[in-house]
Amino acid sequence: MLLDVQNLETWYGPIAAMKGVNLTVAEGRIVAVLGANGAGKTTLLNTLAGVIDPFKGKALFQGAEVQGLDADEVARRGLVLVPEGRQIYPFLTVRDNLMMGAYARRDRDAVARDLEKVQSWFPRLKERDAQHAGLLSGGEQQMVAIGRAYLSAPKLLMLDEPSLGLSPRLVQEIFGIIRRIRDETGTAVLVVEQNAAVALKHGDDGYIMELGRIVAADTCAALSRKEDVREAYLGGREAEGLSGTAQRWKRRRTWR
Amino acid sequence: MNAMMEQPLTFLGHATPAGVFRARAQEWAAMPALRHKRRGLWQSLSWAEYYAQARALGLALADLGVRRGEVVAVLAENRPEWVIADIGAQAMGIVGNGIYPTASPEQMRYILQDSETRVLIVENQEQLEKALAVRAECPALVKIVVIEPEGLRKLADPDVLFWTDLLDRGMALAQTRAAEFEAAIDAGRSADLAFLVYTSGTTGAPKGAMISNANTIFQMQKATEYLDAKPGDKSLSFLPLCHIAERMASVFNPLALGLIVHFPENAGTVQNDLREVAPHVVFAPPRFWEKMHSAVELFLRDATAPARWTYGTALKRGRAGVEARLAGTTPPRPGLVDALLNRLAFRNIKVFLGLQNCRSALTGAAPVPPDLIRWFLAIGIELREAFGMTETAGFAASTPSGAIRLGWAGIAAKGTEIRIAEEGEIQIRGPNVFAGYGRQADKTAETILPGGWLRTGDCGEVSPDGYLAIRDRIKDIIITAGGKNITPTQIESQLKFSPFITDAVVIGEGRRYLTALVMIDLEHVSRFAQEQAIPYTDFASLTRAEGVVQLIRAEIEAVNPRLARVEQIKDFRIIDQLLTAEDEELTPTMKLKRKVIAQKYARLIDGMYPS
Repeated sequence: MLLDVQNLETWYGPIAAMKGVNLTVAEGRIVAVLGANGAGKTTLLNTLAGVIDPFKGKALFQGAEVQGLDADEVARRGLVLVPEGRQIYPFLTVRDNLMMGAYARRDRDAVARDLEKVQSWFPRLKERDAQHAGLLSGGEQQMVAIGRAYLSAPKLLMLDEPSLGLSPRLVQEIFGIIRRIRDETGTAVLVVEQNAAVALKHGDDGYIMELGRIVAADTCAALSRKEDVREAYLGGREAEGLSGTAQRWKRRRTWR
Repeated sequence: MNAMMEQPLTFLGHATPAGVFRARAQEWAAMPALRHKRRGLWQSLSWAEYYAQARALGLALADLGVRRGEVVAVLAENRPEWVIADIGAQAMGIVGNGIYPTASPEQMRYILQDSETRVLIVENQEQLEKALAVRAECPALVKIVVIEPEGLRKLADPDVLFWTDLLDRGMALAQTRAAEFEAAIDAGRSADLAFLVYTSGTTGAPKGAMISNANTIFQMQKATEYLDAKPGDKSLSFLPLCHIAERMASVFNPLALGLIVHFPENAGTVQNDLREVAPHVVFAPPRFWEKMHSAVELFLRDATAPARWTYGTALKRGRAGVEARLAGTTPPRPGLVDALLNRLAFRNIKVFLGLQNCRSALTGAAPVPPDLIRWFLAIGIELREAFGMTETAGFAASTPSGAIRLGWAGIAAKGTEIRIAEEGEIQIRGPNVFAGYGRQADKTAETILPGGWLRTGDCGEVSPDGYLAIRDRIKDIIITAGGKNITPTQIESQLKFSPFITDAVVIGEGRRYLTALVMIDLEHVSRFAQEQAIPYTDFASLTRAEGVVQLIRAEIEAVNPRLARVEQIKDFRIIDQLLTAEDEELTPTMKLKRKVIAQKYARLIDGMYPS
């Protein structure tokens, strides 16, 4: 198992944001974590990336514990985060932004090859090589963020809401490239998403988080068939209710 | 019996609850009757307002064409509108009924058809959708009333109206036709039907139990005997109003005692509301009291060492006193240390639970584990057992204050008789025996014997001094392959005392030994798993985790030594699906249905009996 998260628990002061999360990512898999606002998805990624220290639990990456390590050490080991909202450097050029990802690498030839790969996945970034990254569109900025992460030679790429603020077409494009990265390089991907439809379509394994806990785990294909998932995340109710919403009457979700 | 017929039962000289309601509304006019928490603030309704709204609703219902003896049903969580509709309808001679908010459209359809409900009052858009889904199949239903208009602005349906509109119409009618309402109250007779309660039906389809005015008046008389309460005392209405116990507690006992009924904001805020209200009277099933107990135990596990020491010491000293009291000897006089420990530990626990004012604490509707009563006695709450059922319109026996006997459910209500018949069946006769099942004369005849004896379906015994003990439902008694008679409910109640076990079903009919299917408590077990670093993802994986299976095994093995050899649980399985009240496996009160469980989980069960 590439990543094995066991009973990971994170608190923000008196508030438990993550109340014990268990999850695994196998080599070469795309794993999607779905959930509503405040479910603890971003906390999960931030905890794994070393941005926050967990209160309890373990995260084994390639068999070694990484929870509580500093963010740079975690990244050096190949567990790389593409943060929510992209967080690129607006006043650096596109190329400099990308090269920031390779900051810790000494293997120049390999870096050059990886840069070429990124540019082949995102031809538009090559066109705008010398532009300030702040002048790029949202979709292009997301590409920079992903490319930058790839240049730090990740073994597991963690993406926090890559679809945020992007047009439906761009979302498909970004996910298409995420798959291509995995197919071409074997990099495993852990992606956190609110856009359940697209995440379930492109992911291999899926987890659903609610209020800091995993409530359902299965392959993405099997999850998409669960009635509760269809209803809560995919808008699967055919009949439309009086209030104009798809939901008619609530049942407690059991994730069967 | 004959004397009773001639001289109807009365309360304050009134033969119907509606009559008492009118008298109380005059007597207590300005005092608060109902309180409801809305958006975090408690809103009060005085007795005069309560009466005015009930009158408006009663008149409006009559105006819609509902006549005396016809049925009006409410489908809503506990809230003032529920009781206003219920008592307002009854004053007009209209029969009130309740439907569980968790009912599926299918269950709703059954009850609406069976009771020929004329007007259905639903809580909100969501419940309205359910009602509309089955309306076409309920020809008697003329109007649906919605309490909360949110999300229904575009609704244009001549047969759906809003609560406030109906109430306004009633208020306008009251200007000119208030006398009709008064006349309707005066026309009510002791033997008339007051309301319906659909039995939750652990077996077969639900049946509509008919509760008469006389039943209700009798129970109101009794309330003053078993409850220690005075006008202005508080209660919290948090159990389903469709259930006979809560119906009595929130609609009729207040008429007798002057309790202020508080309605929680929603089902999720009950603990918090309990703390805020600090009620004087609390009735709840054992499960509820167990949850309080486990909340304290779990809370103290994370507490500081001095707090744990204080609690532990206080509990040990308290228990010694409890044992002495239960044994009938005088407990040792509490010294200064006890007083101090009490103040430090138990006072805080009671405030934490919202029980610091509680003078009448009652439990029933399921077997009560003796350890639970011991614990509450130790912290200074006299948790008394009571026995009753829908068919006795509430309590039929209760433990008198200061006379708890563990394992016994109390003594028969004065004016009623209890006898033990064939198969050890408990039979009851008296003014609390209900009027029969609506439209099911055959079922009624099976239940009420000639001579007025009600077959409870429970078996038990009566001690020489009149204490009643409940053993089990007769039909639930297990006869093992070895020919031993086992009362599963008693064993299950001991298992359920564990904070990790919500419910359990003991299996063993015709088998060599007993086994159990266990429903785990998601909250406590997942917390345990996290503390013990047991990895799990979804509910099914939690139930399969080795550490969790061991936990449940240890809980069962802790109970086994207290059971006779033939009663011991040799194996168990954990139900690996998260069940909700909408599932057929559970009753609306979240109890496992024995028969359905035995069928649905036949494979799991067979796995416990290798041939």
